Amino acid sequence: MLKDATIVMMLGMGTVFLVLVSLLGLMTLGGRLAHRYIKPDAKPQPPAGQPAADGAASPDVAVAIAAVWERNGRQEKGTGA
Amino acid sequence: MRRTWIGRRWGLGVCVALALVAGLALAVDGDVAGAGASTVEAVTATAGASALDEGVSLREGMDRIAQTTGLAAFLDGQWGAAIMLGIGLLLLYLGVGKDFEPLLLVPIGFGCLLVNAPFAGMASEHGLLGIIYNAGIENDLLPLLIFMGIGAMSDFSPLLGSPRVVLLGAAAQFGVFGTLLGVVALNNLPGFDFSLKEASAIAIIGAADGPTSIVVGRRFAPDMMGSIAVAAYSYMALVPLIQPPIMRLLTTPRERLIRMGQEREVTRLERLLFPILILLVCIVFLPAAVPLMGSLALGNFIRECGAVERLSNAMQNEIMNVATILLGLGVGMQLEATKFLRPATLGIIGIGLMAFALGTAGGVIFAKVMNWISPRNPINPLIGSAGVSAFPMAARVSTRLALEYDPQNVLLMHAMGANVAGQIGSIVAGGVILALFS
Repeated sequence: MLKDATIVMMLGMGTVFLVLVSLLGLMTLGGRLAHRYIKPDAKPQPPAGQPAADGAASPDVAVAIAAVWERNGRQEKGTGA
Repeated sequence: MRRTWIGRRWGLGVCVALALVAGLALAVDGDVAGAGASTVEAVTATAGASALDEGVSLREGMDRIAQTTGLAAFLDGQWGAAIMLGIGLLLLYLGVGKDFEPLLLVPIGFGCLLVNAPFAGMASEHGLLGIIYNAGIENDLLPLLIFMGIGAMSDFSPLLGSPRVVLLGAAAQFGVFGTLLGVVALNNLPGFDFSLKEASAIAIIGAADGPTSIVVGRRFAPDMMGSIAVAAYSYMALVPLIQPPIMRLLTTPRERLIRMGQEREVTRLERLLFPILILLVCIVFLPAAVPLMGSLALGNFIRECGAVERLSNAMQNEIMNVATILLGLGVGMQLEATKFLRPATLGIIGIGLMAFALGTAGGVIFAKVMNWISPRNPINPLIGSAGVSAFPMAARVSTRLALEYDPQNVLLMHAMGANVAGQIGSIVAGGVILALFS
């Protein structure tokens, strides 16, 4: 029975890899085709004359994020805030 | 101390009340049915009758009720049912008190309580649990509905953005097929005698995928399906405890610090075509897995197409919730004392742990192998453990462990990619077993 189980194991792992490697190939191919022929999905633009909803576009938020990154970097180096 | 005293007083009160009622009954019985008939005679006289339709004495009625109490059943050899009631309560405690997969363990625990109620007939053809089992599990309907819900809730973008992690989902299926050898080896111990079909059904616990475990378990080991499902869901809940020690053991500190690049952007068309793609691959290579994969693909296509948002919402919420309740109760029905209280259950619980460990190790080691083959763009081996299907717990565990070693190394999206690959891999593993033994 151990021999049968070993055969089932080899068949099973072989089939799982066969199916998923095929999927990998198709996904990679599809990704390349999409990269070549399809434009990336356009993000919705804020109406003209209004500030963007995206936080990264706001200068205040950008400054705050930069300050946090700077602070984290200092703490990691042990320099203290 | 005070509570104990109050409890004793209550107990005493109940005993006195019961004694009074019994004495009163005996006294009245003497008047109504005639003196001299002993309790044993009364029971014997009524034993052949299926219903008390021709009048009854008070004593006969009381005897009949006494005979059909749970207490009488427990004392009359059905002690296993009492133990199973305790196990049902334990499952409820784990679900509610410890937050271990409560969505499944609560209905399973309650199903366990209901099915082990003596004389209630809950598992009979016309009992609540029997109806649920025959209508929803015997024909695989509920597991497939669950897969539709999972498909409608899954976002495959992380996998599409970094396709190579699909191999981690394949490698983690070593948890299934490696465990198969372990189950067969267990046959060398006294008390264990699993056939190859049963061993495969037990090994599917390693897929960390509840619906697949139920579908395969019901086909090839129907008497063990309850144990298999409970083991699968319990260990899925224990992933945060099981996986980290194995991940630490198999990786070096340097490997844990590996940062992975940004995934590429995925277009809507790719997301839309992906469920059709996995279905076509499954049809070509493994039609036995089409019911499972087809349900997942249908749910995901409905989510991504955007044309039927109502259906997508229904699959993610109402259908998923109803199916979860009914599936849990149906699985709980399999936790009858005669099916659960035997050495095989202990073997299944032990083997289940081994299955999760092997799956985790398979994913982590394969990530290291991929780095060895292609060192230019390395993978953090910690995401290998997310190749098991326990979604999204396994991905969270990978991310959390990576953050422990580098607070700015967020691997969540890569781990999610490996995790959804694990879902697909587990269906394929289940499909292979179905194809081999059906």
